[in-house]
Amino acid sequence: MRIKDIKGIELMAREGLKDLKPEKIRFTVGSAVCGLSRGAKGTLETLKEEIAKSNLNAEVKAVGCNGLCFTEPVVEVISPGMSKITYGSVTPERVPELVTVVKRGEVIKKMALFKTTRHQFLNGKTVEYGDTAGIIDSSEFTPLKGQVRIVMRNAGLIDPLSVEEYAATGGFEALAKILSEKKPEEVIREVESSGLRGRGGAGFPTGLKWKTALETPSPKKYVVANCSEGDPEVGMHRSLIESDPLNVIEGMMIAAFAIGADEGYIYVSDKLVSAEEKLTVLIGKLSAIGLLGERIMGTDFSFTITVKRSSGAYVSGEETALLNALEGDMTEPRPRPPFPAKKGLFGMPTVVNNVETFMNIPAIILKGGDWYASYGVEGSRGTKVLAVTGDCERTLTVEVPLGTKIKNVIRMAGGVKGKKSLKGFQIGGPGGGILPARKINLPLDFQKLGKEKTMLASGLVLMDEDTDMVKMARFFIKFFEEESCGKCIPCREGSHRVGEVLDYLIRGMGEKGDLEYLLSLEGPINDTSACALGKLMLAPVSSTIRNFREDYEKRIGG
Amino acid sequence: MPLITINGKKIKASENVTILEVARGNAIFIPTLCHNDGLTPYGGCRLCVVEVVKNGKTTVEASCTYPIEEGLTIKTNTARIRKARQVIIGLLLNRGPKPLVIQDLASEYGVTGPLTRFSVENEHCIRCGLCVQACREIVQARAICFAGMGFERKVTTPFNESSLDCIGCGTCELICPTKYIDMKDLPEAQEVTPSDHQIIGPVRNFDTWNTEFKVRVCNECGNPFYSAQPLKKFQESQNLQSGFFDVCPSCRIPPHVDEDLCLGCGGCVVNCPIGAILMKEKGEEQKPTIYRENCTGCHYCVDMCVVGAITIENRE
Repeated sequence: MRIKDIKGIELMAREGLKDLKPEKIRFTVGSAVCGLSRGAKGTLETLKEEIAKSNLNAEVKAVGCNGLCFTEPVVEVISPGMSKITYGSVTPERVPELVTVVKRGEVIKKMALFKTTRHQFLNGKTVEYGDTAGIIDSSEFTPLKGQVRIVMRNAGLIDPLSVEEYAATGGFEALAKILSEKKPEEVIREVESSGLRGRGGAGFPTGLKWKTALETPSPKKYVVANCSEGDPEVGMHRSLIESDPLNVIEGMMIAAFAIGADEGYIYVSDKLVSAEEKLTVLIGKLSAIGLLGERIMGTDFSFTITVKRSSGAYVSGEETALLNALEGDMTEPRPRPPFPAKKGLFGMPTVVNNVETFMNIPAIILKGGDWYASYGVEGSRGTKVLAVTGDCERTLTVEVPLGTKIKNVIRMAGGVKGKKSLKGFQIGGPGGGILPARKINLPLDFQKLGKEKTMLASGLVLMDEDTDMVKMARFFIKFFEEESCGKCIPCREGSHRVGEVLDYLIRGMGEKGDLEYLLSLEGPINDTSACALGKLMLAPVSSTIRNFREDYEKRIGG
Repeated sequence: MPLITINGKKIKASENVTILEVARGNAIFIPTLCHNDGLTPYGGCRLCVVEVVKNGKTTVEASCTYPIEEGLTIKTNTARIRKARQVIIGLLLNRGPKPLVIQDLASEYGVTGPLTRFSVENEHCIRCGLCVQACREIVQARAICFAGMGFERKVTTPFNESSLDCIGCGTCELICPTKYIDMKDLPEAQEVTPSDHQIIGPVRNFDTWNTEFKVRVCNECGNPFYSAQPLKKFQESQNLQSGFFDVCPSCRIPPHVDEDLCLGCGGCVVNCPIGAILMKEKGEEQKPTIYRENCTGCHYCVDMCVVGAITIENRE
């Protein structure tokens, strides 16, 4: 079957809707890598066995991650006439009990987390489930309270490998809409009016980047999705791609249409093997039904996507280093200017965006830039996905509107583990500064966080009162020492020397003048480093010296 | 032509050049370690940083890669820039204080060191990448590369093995600013095994690249003149005759035919091992013509000519 127009997509959506609101019972198991590592595979297999044993008319699906990392494996049950019930921590031993109770048409109240009575999709369609009394609604569930899910709207809901289910939630409607009735300039205007800024950390306006690429005349242009995630202890992009890979692909297709590209690359970190597999399978499926390839939906628009695996270096997430790696060269940043939007991959105009940025695009096109801009604050529009981790009670992946105060996000995560007090937190990956606990009233806002010398990237790491900030700074410097590409001197040599000073301090051999030396390096290294990795390298050190000076001073002898 | 200001001096720059080129063309000195006019700008040493004011915003940029634009204001020697360069030089001093270029820079910028607080590595290589780039862009052999990341980065041959792509030209040694690359021409090298050793003749040795080349000896004069492996490579890539490099360039003198003495027998045509001599009509007779571009200079024809009509030009 080849999709020729919007009717084909609607046909697919009808098929998918049957899965999302089935006649029979549907079990879904969160089987992203985060779930699998907590035993989701065992749960899935035991579920299948138990269902076969008890002759239950039910299907079992592996879905993505709905962000409730702390209570994996998560199982959701849709029974006809009842609400969709979400169960947490369903280990294989608990499965038989669950199956017998579901067969009786009842609910295990002590295991159930929350219920969902309806889902509203982007295209306005809704799926209504029944109402089961005695369980709190999803909107009342603390970890979900205050979340607005645009990027994660399908996370944990649909089978990531099913094109039909994605279409049922309004997928590919945005693509059909722009292909049939919009011009590239109109698409870019829509993205500009949404105020979307790059979600990789730098926060460059996406519309402006696309406009530059569109206005640069060239025989060939490229779209590249950057999924080279390397932040330590954070796996947010992996979770996003694993839960809703088609959203990334649709976003890239819209970008390609807007700038006039016909070839795309998804650059996936070598650690995200399962994400890479899913993307490859789906690209094959889409090519077979004619949503990728030549003359998509009977228009002049052609687009192909290739998935490339990265070498795994942190620096390969830097956009020019990524382009070098795609060309087969060493993973080193290139000098800028020229910027990739003018002269990128193979010397052609290239739009490089983070996967999260691309995942925002279909929603913006379908519901309009003004709708998207209604979330967030001036200068920072829309929502942001954050992996909340570290010393928190509940490890979570949340999506909140920009402008949300950090303390509200911490509240979703249940505060600090073990009833300890918060000492500091880090936002913006290893290159973000570590801020003291008194700053939890800061909003998630590009400008305001920039003023605090940190940024908005993929993670929010909480640190409790027992955290030793010198050791924490050493951890991040060690990370940079290993991940620096070594091209330019300040980053290569600087990270090593800073590490040496911190080692002295940790061993209690600190000297007077050490802190001044570390602080004196910050400006010059920031000035001279070629890429953002080097420029941000000292942020964890200088921010901890500024905010937690007592941790350092007690190590310096008189 | 873009009009720019460097250190308060208004300069009309040409199109498509970098700040560094314009500055040096106007006698404004900017220090560099990884720059060479013959190579693509690399931007690795960051010594060439300058302050660039564009649209009222001041940034620090590497001048070797930053393209000239209309209306840029550039300052090459402010306190901020000097401080940045001092930090870089200080870091380099700890890695290897001995190279002269580093010492010169240190005394110029008033940097003392190496700092005893840190370990001193005493390395000569500063990882400027000039050798790697020269091998890639000028020689086009790609025999050496960077390996490792961060502080562990070094220049080496692929897998630290003797590189088959190396042609032993020595460009890397010539371009290295710190004399880290060790190239030796040994006239009488010996091959030593546990039981035996024998003289294998002259070799060119690169300790840094774990590579050694036997040097070809000229069949005429007996002097060593070039490594055997690259000569074979050139010969194949340029479609030269198989014996082309048996003699050295200074001995490769095509013989001269004395047409008065020549009988026109054609013996030289038959005897020439590579067919570089053909008979051509000169007046009423047939006389041999030597194709100088093909002649390998073996002078077999000189020995074979029955009347001694073929001689070597300017032999004395």
